[in-house]
Amino acid sequence: MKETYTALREFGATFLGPALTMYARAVEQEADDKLPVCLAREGWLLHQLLTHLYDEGLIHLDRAPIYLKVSRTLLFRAMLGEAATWDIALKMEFEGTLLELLMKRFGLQMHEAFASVPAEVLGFELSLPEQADEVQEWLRPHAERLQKQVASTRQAAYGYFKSQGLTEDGVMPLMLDVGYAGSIQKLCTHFVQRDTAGLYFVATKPGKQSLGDQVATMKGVFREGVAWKEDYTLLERSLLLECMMTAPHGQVVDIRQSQDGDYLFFYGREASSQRYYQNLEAVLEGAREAVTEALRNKVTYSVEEVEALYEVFATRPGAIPQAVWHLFTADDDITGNGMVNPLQIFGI
Amino acid sequence: MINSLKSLQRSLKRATGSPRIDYEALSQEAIRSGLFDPQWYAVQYGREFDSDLDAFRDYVRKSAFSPINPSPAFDGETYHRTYMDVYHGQLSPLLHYLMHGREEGRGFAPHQPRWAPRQILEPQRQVTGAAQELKIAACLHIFYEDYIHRFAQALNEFPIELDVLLTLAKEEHIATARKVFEAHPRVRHVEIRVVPNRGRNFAPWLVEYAEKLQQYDLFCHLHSKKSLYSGREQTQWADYLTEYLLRDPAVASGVLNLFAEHNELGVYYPTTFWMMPSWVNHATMNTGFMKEWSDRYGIEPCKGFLSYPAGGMFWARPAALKDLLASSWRYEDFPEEPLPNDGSMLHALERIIGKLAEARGYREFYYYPPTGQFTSDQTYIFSSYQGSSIDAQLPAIRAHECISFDVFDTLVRREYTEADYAKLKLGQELAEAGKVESAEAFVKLRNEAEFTLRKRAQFKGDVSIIDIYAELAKQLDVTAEEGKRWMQQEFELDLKMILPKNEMVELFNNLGSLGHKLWIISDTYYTRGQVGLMLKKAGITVPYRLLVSSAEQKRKDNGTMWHMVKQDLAEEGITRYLHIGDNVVADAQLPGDLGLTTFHILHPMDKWQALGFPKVLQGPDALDEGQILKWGKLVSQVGRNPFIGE
Repeated sequence: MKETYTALREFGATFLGPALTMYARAVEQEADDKLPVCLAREGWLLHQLLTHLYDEGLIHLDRAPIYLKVSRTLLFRAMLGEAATWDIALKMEFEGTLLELLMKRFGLQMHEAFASVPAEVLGFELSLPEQADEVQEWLRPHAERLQKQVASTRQAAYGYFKSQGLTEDGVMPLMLDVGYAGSIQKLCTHFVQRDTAGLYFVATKPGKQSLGDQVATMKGVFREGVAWKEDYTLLERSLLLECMMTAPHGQVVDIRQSQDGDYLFFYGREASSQRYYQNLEAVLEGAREAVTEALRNKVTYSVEEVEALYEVFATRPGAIPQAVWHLFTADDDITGNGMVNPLQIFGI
Repeated sequence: MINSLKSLQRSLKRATGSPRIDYEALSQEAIRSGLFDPQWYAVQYGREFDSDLDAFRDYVRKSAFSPINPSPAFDGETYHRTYMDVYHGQLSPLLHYLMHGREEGRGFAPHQPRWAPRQILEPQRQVTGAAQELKIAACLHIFYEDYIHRFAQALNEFPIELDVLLTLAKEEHIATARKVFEAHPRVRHVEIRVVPNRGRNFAPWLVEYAEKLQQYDLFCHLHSKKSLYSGREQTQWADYLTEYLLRDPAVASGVLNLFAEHNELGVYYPTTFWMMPSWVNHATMNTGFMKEWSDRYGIEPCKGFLSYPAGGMFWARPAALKDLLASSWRYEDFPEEPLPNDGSMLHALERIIGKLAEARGYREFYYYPPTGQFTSDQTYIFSSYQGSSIDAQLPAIRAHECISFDVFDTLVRREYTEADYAKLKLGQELAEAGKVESAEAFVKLRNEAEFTLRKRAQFKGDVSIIDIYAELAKQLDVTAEEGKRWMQQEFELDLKMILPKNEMVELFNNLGSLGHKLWIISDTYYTRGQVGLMLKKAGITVPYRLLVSSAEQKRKDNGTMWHMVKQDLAEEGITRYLHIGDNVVADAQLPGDLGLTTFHILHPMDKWQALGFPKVLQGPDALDEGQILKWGKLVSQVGRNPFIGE
């Protein structure tokens, strides 16, 4: 029995503590007058952490942070059929049939796909991003039916975002996430038709990006402008971070509004970190305590120090203790890979 | 079993052309069974063989002393470690298995990677044109005559010609040496000096050849090395070093090619002999002597775990060791015999060879026999600590009737790792109250008071925290009562920061519940009562005998405690005894020298270093509260479980 409370908690403190300490300080600096919006799975821990630090008076924020249940899949679905989102939706790698793409990336159920697109088209094999233009051409004639199919998701999502304050005039949302290209931020920017700011661990494309009349501005705390396959460990092996920074409910894939106005959320397949959330919670608690103590003691880490620590955890066999091995699986359905185990992938 | 070993040893002695071992049949059988894979073997170890039989013979010879494998299906090191009689018999694991082991019901395991080098260097395994141009010398110190032939034989397949610079311990060996080396086809020029028995292997080459060696592009240094086990000569360590420094042509070619291609490479040696204790890559008792060398050459002092050519044999680029070679050496510069087993300027010199090269901007590189790879990755020094775990060690631990544990960093840890943090915190309180100039000044005064007491006692026995604060009170002109309050405050501040090493405490309590006799032995200025409270806070609940140096007036780190323990064990009739601790010298080396079985675990800071985390809390940072708060807890948390990968 290696999964002891201490082993889990202390791993959280060492693996996540220094990076989150730096990130929390950066949020404090960037959040002036903005609404901190913690996004998606990784945002769960960020929200818990920032709320705790805000409540304890360890960081100053003009507005209390909020947690937004969102994912690329949810937004792709909500905006399915809209020409403006194809560029984002079809540029990530994918191998499979069109049916698989619609189900895995856009969160359609099989009957929804068959109700919207002819069966022979659904059987087309495709490879993204190479065939992005072709796929757009295949789907364009069916855009109207697809939009109709997802109308209730679109309406519910907009209502939910609105209820969280994202559409409020004069309040710029500051989207908080681990990284990287800011697709969720860009999709949200377009969806709620508001300018947004984003603060990430790593921003692969920092700066301002126009989405129609709106602008999404992105910053990276640890590195900006680095690309995949450039050997930057914090990005290349970010899957390890993502496995630990996740919400108990996993990935939200759909949202509906009931007649009485409640929002109903639908979630994707559970990864081990959801199944054993009691263990992940101990990891996250350790991380939260470490950041709290660091801020209390006025401890700061440099980018180089955080990178050096992460390099060890992400590349040295034995640095990640067995106590947490079972938590390292991730749902990579969006690229068609299903459940993946980063410890195996990285050989650690 | 003993008879079968003797018979196999006899057979192997007659190996060449011997009718007793049918290598042809055995190699075919090994191939058929999948335990020997000649293609895999040749690729893995960078060799080309004329036949499968040649490959098998090569494996059989080397595997007696090296942890190489015949195929991924058979792990030689596991076989040797499981059946130490085979290792001490200097027998090839697979050959033994085929001829006797399987009939005797012995098992084998598939290859188990123990360490995977990073920063791989991939030279050609046949000597390149650039390497052929190198002017090189082999500087060989020979004490035992038979090594004249051993070294000459090792040069038979050396890829290029070289000069041989000999230092002989005895005049009567000159004729043989001259005859053997002057006629050797790979040797261009021979020089022989007879030297006094002073300065072990180092003084001869430094005194006799330091100046001359600077004329070469490269040189290697080897010496005749013998050790005994149960009265029988054990040549494995020497064979291992000779093989991977001189004899194996694929390795020798790789070494020469790498030196020729990479000007920044300064020193080469194979990774430390695999059957050495896990803690061998350590400064051990040489920290003070190493500091003298560091001061002399103006290099950064080093301590703790480090990479060095254990055994004192290596290749070097003279420019990398220029500091050493440019000095004018006399035999009088070296200590006279008898020298201790460890802890001398010579043991220290062996440990700073690589550091001297690094200070001049050169790097070391190594050959790791199990994977057949060259690397500049120094983490091999911790390879023995990888992949182990308490669960894996439990049966071996449980085989002992009486088990003793160290306290600090074995059973308990400090929240912020640093041992002096409690003193610093007390110093802050006293500085605030205007009693001392600063917190740092207080720590210095307090530690000086401890040293004064030790010196007064001529470093015999040990001191207690009570005496230390009585002394400090006198020095600072405060009442004895106030001194006592300070003493109690230092203890309580430390006690508050004491945490269990949870997995080790669990092991301890389990062993106690299972009926093992448990002792706890600590070198500490704390009293027995204080240490007892710390152990209680850490969750130790089973009965134990507590030996603390301040009460016993005997210390582990000077051996006196171990003499007492040994005597107590004898009196109680305990034969199966094991000590577990984190201090290489006090908990492993010294009790080991007395024949006590030990199990060394990594100190949190050593584990931190082993994993490759940044260097922290070194030098003045160790007393910088900001640094302690920033790094100390991370180190304590990473090092809580002493095993890497558990």
